[in-house]
Amino acid sequence: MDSLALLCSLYGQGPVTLRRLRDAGCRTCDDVLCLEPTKLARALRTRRPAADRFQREARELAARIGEFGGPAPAIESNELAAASEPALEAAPSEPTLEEAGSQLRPELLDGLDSALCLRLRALGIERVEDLARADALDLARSLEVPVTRVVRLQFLARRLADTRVETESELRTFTLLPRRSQLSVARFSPAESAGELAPLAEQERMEDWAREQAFEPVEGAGELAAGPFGHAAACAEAGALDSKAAGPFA
Amino acid sequence: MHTYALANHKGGSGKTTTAIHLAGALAARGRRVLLIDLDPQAHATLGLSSEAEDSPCALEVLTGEVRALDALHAAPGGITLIPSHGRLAEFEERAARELGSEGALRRALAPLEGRFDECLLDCPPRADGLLTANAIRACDTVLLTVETGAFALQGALKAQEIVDELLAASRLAPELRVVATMFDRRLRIAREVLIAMQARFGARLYDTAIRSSARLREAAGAGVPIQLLAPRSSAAQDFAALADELALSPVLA
Repeated sequence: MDSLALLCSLYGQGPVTLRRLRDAGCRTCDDVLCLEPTKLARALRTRRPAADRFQREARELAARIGEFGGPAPAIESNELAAASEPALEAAPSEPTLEEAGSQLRPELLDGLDSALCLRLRALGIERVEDLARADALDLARSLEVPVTRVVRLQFLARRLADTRVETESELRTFTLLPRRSQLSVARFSPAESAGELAPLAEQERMEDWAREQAFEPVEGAGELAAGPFGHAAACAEAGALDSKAAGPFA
Repeated sequence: MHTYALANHKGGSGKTTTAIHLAGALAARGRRVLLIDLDPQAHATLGLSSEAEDSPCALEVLTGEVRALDALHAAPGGITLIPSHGRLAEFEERAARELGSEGALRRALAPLEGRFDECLLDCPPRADGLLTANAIRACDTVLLTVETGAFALQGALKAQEIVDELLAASRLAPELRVVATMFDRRLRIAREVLIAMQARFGARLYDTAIRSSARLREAAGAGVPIQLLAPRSSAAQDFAALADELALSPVLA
């Protein structure tokens, strides 16, 4: 099954949608994204909003399976656990400390998953401040999610934005907090994750900061990139979260 | 004649439903299709309004008491059927005492070569039994049917393991293909399983995922393939697309 067939099964009418897209010259999710929305709507024999939504779903799926045009990478084990997790591998490289303070990314706010993050970016909302300022009702309509979810996200965004400007130290504290998905990855590939999540210089600065604050970073805290909060509880939580993330399919 | 064995270690994965309606879709394309019910529960036989109470069934064909040609039944939708019966369960016990019993079906089907274009073997839910071993030895393609629900992937992987062992023990090398069944895109678990299956099986997974449909249940109750009951339904479209894929897809090494 190629990615286009998968897309059509997940979000279309299976073989009917697949045939229409292939007739329109599409072979991959990437081709669907490159197609003009009006042409796509014509090919799918639907209206423009449905075509827009289909393109959004194609973009999310491509990010999810780590593919833009090429074949899907084979997953040797824990397929479902990996499939259930937000597309961490497909996420852009970790932003710098300054960027991280404002750029929206999955898991930055509780309830902000990768799919929603992509949809927000598609609407031009790329920063925490943009989310905090946006009109909740319009946003809920555009995202097709309950307005209560948007209001909650905006509350968290405002709180995060307010906290962010207080001091530089505090900025470091919350931007380097281990996120649930990071903890999962860190457990499986600590060396790689440490490199991805916190550059060495940053890690050293964090350790200095922790010493100043009389925290005692435990062994392995650096690997988890947990910063000043890389204590035993965080490690224990990482284990607990891992087992949750793996679910019944582990 | 290209022979497909529909197998899975897990019961309720859609083997029989796929066998009946895929046979119907192939027959609707003008192909000469033989369906052999190898499940002692005889659900494929019942699903095609047939029974083998007083006539030869797959057991007699496998034991060599009756020629396969003499056990053929005309079933609805232009399908030819070798039916099953509860007494097929005796085969495992009887064949266990004989040498080379895994090749019984292959030998029995040899005279039918050229009479049919496709032969579908509906296997019982035990992938490590003698009936499934016979089907795998007789087939060109092992078709794993995987329900898109919880635990389905584990069942498929177990079946794949058993098939790999059987293939390693024999000198035959049928290709292994996978078809997703009972797909309901409204369910998150179904979508997750399909994504995982695509990641796990890649090109071996057919592009068509068979969607769950109330029409399929009605067709089973009516004892006809879906092509006769609801030819324009989504289920009929899915099986038609799968039949097209079977005809067009290249053999994967």
